[in-house]
Amino acid sequence: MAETSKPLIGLKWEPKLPGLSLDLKTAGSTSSKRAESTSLWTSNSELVDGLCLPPTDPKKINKMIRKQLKDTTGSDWFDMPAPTMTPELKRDLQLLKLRTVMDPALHYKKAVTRSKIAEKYFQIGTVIEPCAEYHNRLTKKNRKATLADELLSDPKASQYRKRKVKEIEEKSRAVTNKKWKKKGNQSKNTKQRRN
Amino acid sequence: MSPPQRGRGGGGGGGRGRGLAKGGGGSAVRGRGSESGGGIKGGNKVLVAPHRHAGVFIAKSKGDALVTKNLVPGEIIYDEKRIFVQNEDRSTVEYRIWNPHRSKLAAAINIGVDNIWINPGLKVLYLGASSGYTVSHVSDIVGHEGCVYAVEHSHICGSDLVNMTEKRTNVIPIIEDARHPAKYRMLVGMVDIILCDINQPDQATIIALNASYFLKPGAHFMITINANSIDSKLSAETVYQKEVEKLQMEELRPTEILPLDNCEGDHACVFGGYRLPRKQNS
Repeated sequence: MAETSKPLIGLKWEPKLPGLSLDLKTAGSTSSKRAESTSLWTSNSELVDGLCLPPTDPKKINKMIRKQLKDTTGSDWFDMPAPTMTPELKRDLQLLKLRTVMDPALHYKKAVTRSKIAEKYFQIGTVIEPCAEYHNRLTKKNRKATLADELLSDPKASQYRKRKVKEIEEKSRAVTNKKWKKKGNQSKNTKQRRN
Repeated sequence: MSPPQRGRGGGGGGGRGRGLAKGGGGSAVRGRGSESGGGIKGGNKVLVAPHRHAGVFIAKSKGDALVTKNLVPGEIIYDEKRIFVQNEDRSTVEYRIWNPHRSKLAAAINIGVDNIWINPGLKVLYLGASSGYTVSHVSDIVGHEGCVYAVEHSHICGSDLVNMTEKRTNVIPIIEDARHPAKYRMLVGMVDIILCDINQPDQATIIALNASYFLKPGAHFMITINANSIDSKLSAETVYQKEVEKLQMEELRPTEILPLDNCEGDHACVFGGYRLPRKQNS
């Protein structure tokens, strides 16, 4: 039963903070209901630490509002904020997990289960090279907005990727008669089929 | 007294990837050998995530790099790459890439040391600061609340150090011989960790003297041992063991020895505690 707004009837007025009600007797029972309607209440998935429930004590709620807790790593890592997840970010995270298959020549060490901090808090940034490394930087056209875009535009990686995708598609394509399975990539039908 | 725990890097390559791997994700084997930051070029996008150690971060893309948050955005010490991040609330952060070939502390972190004992806000005494490359990264880690006292005897490196210090306000350069801490005792307060990178045969006594002046009891230290500069006739393992024994006599109890395999020559990093309380066998 979520209340959206308290009706201001009569001479009684009080600020709309939870727990500040003059009706102290029912403070404990109603504050939990009232807490749902305010912005302070967060669902379990949004909490910093999944075990922590929002406090029902009005003093504690006020303290939290005053402190305005932000979702950061804390002072150990200079308050790195958690990014809001967008599909692009999710794709980038997935890419990083799958980078063992992106290039056949590059080999990575096995990823141990990641720390909870590193999963939740991260930032995407661009590399700025020093003046002396003018030979080893990306051209303007090659600079993209996300890791996924960079991978797409890299010519070596895309050659390998296209070849691999084609191989997988050829294998998995169901055929009635193997002799009729069209091979080669220049005939009109195969081109149409691929695009 | 139980022998100190042998570092993960020694005894085979089995535990080699723990440092970066614990922080999250693997790292490109090829990248680390040839370049300082993996396959990371200017203009690349990277993902910066917190490392297992406080104050340190990892930058991931095609290759991984160890990274610290730049105390002075826009300034680099020598030609290292920077990572520029813009947050959702329009604030900007800058990180600097830490080269494990230049800095032994970075090499130790990459190999997988349990604990570097450096946190934001700590006071650090760095003996053998040289031109200030590792000092700058340590000052990045300790942040504005912390302080780094950098001691360097040579005047050539000292001038580089002083130039670096002009921009970074939490580093205090001390151009003095570390053998005589009485000469700079007015400049240094009690510190939480001593990092020692002087390649002198008597470095155990040097660090013991400095620890007796400046190091808090229960605090920690790190020493890099160059086997050749201590005694070039003995094998590296013997040299490390001898140094460890010398340290133990001075109440500097080593907890980890880490052979640094990706540096040239026989180097090892020893981490330990000073006047640690004895464990009660109940």
